[in-house]
Amino acid sequence: MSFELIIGAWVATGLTLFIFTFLYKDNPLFKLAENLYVGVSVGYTIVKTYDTVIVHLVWKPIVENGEWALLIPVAIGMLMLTRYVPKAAWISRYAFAFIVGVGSGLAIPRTISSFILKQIEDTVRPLLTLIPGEGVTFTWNLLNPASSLNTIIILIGVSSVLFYFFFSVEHTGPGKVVARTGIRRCRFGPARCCHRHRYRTASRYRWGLACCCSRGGPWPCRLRLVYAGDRWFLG
Amino acid sequence: MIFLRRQVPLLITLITGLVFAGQYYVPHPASEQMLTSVTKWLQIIGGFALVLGVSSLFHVHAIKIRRKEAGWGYSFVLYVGMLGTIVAGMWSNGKEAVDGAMTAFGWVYNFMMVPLQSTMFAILAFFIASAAYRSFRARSREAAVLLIAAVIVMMGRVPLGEYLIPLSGDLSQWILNVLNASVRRAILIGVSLGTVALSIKIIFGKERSYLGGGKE
Amino acid sequence: MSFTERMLKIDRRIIFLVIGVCTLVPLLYPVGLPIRISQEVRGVYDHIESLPEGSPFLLSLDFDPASKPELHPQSISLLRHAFKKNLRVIALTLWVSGTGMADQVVTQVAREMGKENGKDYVFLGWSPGGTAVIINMGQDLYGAFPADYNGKPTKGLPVLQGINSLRDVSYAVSLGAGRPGVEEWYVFGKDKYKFEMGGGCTGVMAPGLYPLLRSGQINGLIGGLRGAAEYETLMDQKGKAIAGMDAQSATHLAIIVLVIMCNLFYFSSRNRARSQGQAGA
Repeated sequence: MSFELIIGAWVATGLTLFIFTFLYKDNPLFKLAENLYVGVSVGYTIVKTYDTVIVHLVWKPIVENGEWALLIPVAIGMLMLTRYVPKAAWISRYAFAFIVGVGSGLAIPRTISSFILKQIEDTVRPLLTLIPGEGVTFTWNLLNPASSLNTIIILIGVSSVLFYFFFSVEHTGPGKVVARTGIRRCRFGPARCCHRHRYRTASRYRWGLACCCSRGGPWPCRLRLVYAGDRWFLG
Repeated sequence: MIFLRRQVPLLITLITGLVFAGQYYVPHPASEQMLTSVTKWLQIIGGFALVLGVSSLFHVHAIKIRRKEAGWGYSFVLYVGMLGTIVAGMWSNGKEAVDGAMTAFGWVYNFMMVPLQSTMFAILAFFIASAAYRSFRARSREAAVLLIAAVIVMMGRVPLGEYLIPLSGDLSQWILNVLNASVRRAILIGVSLGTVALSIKIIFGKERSYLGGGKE
Repeated sequence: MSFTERMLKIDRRIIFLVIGVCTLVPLLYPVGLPIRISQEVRGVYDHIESLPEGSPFLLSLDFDPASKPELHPQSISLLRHAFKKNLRVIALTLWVSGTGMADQVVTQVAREMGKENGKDYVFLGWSPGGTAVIINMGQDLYGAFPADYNGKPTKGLPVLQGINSLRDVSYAVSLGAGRPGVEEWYVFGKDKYKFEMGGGCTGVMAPGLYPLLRSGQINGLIGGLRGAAEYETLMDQKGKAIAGMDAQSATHLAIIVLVIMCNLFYFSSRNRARSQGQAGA
């Protein structure tokens, strides 16, 4: 085994133990490893970004293939960096406007198609199946995800959870039953995060749904869809 | 000046937003070519965005070191780690391995970054176990349902659980496939509606927070 | 303070110790309980089995070292399967900090299976932009990645012969630990470019992908270490996932026991508080 591998193994083991010391209590060794981790990660990202973007996506195509149009995104990227010059910081808005505009435009049709239409289509499925020779059948098998019984359960689940999160009417009478079904169903799915965003005003319930997207590019970052009175609000 | 500082960016967002939302429905070669070019541009701009994101970190830690604030030594370690990685990366042309042989950059990645990041995430498992002990209490009917569902799924997802309670496998599968899927689906539909609504608000200039604060 | 109250406020380090022991002991003394194969994992396996030799198979390794224990075994199994079926493998990553790891796993499995870089497989590396990369690959693969990870121009590589965009890919699997991951590959990739797709993810993410699985938007899902262990079982190649299942069994059981104990202590202390309250009244 080579020398650098042996040293590497010792370094890796040491750093691993430094991080694990946090389980006992916070200490300087953990802090050292934590800061080293941030530094190395940032350094790694910078090197990779330089190598991929500047060398392979910009420099080589321009020099080898004469793709001068690539200077446009470089210019837009440079505009972003004006954020660091207080007097010229407003120029960076052009770059952000472009990214956010394109991002929003790309997101609308694709989200509607992929997550709204396709999901509704699969929720509203026929409850009865026509089998040639056997006629109309209703399947009771719970273990078959496509059975008629499961289709009904899913339909009730989706409707009641949507009702719980979205409908503004005060949850009394039949509405309360539906909303309670929704919140009980949430116990079977990872929906508790959204429960935190429920809040109540003096006059009526207003339901909020938080949409948190991480590391995902220029998509909406934090969103609250609220129904108040007679219309929807986003804020 | 307000026109240049505020109206022009909003106009850029409006035009690009409408054009690229409409592009999805226009499969003409010119429209497709435009999408190809602009997504390539976004790749390049994404690189600058990353640099913008990480460079704010330099600033914060540089101030800490200059002012010798509490814990400035750790900021120094961060700088050493970052600069050391950059030097090793530039020396190795950004490659972790060349023809199967590990470079200096690869050494930093394999023996520092990988164990540090993996372990940082691993300690989360211990805290989750501790949190489960403290918070998984059947205080109400809803909490009891949550507790039972969690126990069934935890049993059904490991061989020992299926061995001890053979039914747990099928039951957890049903919970995931039917009950969980219906809840997640409703949330997915809700979040997607919100995403579309927010995108429309951005395009039409109702949502402007992305422009940042500062002077008009 | 009564015994139950003391147990409810137990030092968290004792719980950490229990979890640590439950992880270590089964790794040192494996039991090897049988692993049942789920329909989700079989979906991915069967589809790869059904692909004719030479079909282009895209594997996006969208994870970083933080998710290595779960997704690394999944990638090894999938690559072994693809190489065994003589598929043309196109690998990439959308996560910058996973680049080195992705390169290692692809190179290591390819070498083990006797495959040649550029002819049987290609690792395209990483490119920033996340979803923009997916769309650009759908429009023009060579524009999104003009060169592979080693700097070789992608145009003219034998492995990419006849492949111009994602439309020409027979099957794609995204092993995602977050965003961009499986959902983004569907929304910005499959939705428009119509290739068949499967997914792999960490255990905590798996429940969130079931709606896509049910609606047929993805035809299979490898969820967490369990999913990886199922795939290793299907491949009949014991790896790190199967080895890790015993540890996972023990820790799950430990957490369940801890939760039950906590509830017993909780109800006991609540009942005592109630009875003391009644006696006081």
